[in-house]
Amino acid sequence: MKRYLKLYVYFLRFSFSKAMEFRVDFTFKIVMDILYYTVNILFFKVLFLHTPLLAGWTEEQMMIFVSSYILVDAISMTVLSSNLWWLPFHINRGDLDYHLIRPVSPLFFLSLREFSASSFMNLLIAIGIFAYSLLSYSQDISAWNVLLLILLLINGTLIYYCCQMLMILPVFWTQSTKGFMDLFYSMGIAMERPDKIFKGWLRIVFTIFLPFALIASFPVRLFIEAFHWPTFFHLTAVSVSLWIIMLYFWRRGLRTYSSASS
Amino acid sequence: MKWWKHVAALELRKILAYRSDFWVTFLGQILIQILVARAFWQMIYDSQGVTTMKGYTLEMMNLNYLIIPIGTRILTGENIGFLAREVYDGTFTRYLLYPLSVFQYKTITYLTYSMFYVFQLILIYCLFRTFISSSPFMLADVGNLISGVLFFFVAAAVYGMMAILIEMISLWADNIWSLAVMLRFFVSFFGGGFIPLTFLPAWAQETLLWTPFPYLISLPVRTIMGLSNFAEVSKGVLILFIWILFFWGVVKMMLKKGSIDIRVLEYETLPKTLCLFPAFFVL
Amino acid sequence: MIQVKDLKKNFTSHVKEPGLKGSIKSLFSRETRTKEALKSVNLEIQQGEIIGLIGANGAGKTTLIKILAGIVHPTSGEASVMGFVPWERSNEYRRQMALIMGQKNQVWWDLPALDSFILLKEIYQIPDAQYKYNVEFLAETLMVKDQLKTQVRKLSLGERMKIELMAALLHNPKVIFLDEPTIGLDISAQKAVRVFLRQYQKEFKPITILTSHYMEDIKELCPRIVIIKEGEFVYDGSLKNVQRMMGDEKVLSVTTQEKTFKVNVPRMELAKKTHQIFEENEVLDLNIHDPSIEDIIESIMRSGVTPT
Repeated sequence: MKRYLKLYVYFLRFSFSKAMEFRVDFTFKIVMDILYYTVNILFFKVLFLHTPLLAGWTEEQMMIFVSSYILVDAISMTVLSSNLWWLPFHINRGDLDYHLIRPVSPLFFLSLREFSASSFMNLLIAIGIFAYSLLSYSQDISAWNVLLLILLLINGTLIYYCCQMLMILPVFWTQSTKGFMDLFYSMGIAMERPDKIFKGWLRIVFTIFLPFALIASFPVRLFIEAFHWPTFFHLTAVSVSLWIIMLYFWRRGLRTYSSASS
Repeated sequence: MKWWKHVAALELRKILAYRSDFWVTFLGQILIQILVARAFWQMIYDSQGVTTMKGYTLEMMNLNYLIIPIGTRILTGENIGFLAREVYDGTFTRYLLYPLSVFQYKTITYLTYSMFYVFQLILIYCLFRTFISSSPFMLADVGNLISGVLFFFVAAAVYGMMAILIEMISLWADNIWSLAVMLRFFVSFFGGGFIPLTFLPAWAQETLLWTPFPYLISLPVRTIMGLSNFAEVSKGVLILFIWILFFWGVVKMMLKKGSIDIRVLEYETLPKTLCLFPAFFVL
Repeated sequence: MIQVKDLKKNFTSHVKEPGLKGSIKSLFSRETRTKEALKSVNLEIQQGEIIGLIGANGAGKTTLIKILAGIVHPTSGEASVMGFVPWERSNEYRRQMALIMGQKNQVWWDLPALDSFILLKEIYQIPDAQYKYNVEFLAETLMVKDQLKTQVRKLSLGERMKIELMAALLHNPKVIFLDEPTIGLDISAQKAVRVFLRQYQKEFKPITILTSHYMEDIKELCPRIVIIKEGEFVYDGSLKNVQRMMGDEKVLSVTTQEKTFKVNVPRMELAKKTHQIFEENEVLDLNIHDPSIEDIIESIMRSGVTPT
């Protein structure tokens, strides 16, 4: 464990020293993400021009939800995205070879190696938006509640990671994962909507099999509404099983990789 | 056979290269987007207890969100970061070797993708009309579909110009990928891809009329749905043509500026600079 | 010690007809084809030994090396490297093994070599003293002391290969797999790598398997060679003995007005053949000599003469 932390410190160091080289890129990325945040906030602001409540939430509650999924997005953009973006290419080109011969978990290495220093600013901005939405909330909130929300959102990031991995892993068998990756990005919209809109089988899909609704919506619901044990258990159970399933497919994928590569 | 037919066939083969990709893109993505949009608007209409919002019934809203993802693809082809990406991975040089202009080549690939998505739109249209009696596509008739698709192609020309402008920035910046994504955001939001433009405040709607955005997505989609009249469409097309001229001018200006900068560029960015030359040929 | 028994490896691939029609067809159904990359091979290598693995492109060299490095799972058969089954990829095994592929990079492109080394030190948990000694020793013998602080992508091909070698050997592996370590290098860089490998072998006594297209590499480094052809070993023995395989053959090098060519001729028929050549051609120059190792190996790889 300590060894992995130490390795991660090296990843951070390398990433920052590398990022200093591409400063223009830096600025573009910041502007892009600010635009993404603005468009998401605007979307709900415009809707609230026409309705007082959305999925049972008021505008300020909805802003907590929006800032929550923005936060999840920012964390995964900073910590994971550049790794996961390249992962299918690495697998497809057979670049995993060198990772497989090292006495260190290839999954750790491939998922966390590139810390996106250029997204780091955006993470700060997202944290700012998140804090602002909490501070401007008109009802009383306890520190415990805030802590729980933050923990659940970090868990949400893990769910997001697992979902993305599950869309990437088919590349071991199909050789191209562009379709699945695009599918993943379009499914991102399910994370950006309150879970209450999903009914019937669609609800089962988005809360159990592709649990995008658990990334931000469930945590925010536990935060805004009274704490609800069944919801919490649902969230925990799905998170844990998703993680196990992802690891299972990762191992199966590696096995396929090693029997197919030449 | 003309060269462009070969290029188009090659691009089509690329689309079909991986079958899982194909099926997922062809059906999966559209399905997810329409399902989420449906659920979302259903909830809004239900909780408000209304049947019409800002000129859209729930049924029309569903149709709107069914057309938008495909329409957006007709509009954008498959061009995000094309120059910059190919320069980066070194495949760009091949266009410099081909005895034809890179922009002609790229236009053909762009159009191939657009045509492919038109095919997809038609297929979905037929499927829905044949098998789902209460389908939202009952609202659209064939004439509307054709004029809407044609409109999308004019819009694609404008979008293509904007995309090229962004590609050119790759002369000065290393990675324009984020800019290209930004363009998509802008076009989607102000073009009515996220939310129908009628939901925006009146002042915003009026301001947008002077920009190209409403004519890129919103108006073509409304045309397919039969919600626009001839006057609106012809005005839209006219405004789009003015924008084409405008962007053309800007591209030319940037080329001039780019040629000055070529001398200061370092050796390492030389391959990138090369991508400007084919542009000189065209413009 | 490496022991390989009846190792087999098959690959399946999809066949696709050319043309748009084929593309559309493959959306619905596909044909598969199986290729035998390794057909039941056996091998035994002692500690401290260095062997050369020779074969044409696609003969199965890389596949064998990747199986022994644990990257590729064999279809059937057994292998044991110092008591480990390679494809189980236990951490203990991975800590004692190194793989260098001339065509793939392992050090980080955008960083100076030393940064990559520090990371490897952490990954392999190399003790400080050993790390310091190794960096010193390797940089000195490879003569790259001044390049360690430069971004790797700014180095020349030869320098980069030396850095790759350093990176792979920092943890003093007991087994080393070298897949074409000199590919694309100029003569002097090739030479430097060879000198280094010999020195390293002397100092640390690892098991080394080397593949190369350059006979020079093999001749200088490997007393023992294995020739592989279409997934089968056609020769396994000492490099010197390979000459005996051709028995009593001599080589005639002939230069005529039009062309230069070589003929292999059994010693008994030497006179007859020479006579015939003189009759049929206008000979400018004719040499009779023993076949070189290159000639022999090339002819084995081409025609697959099995040892007598």
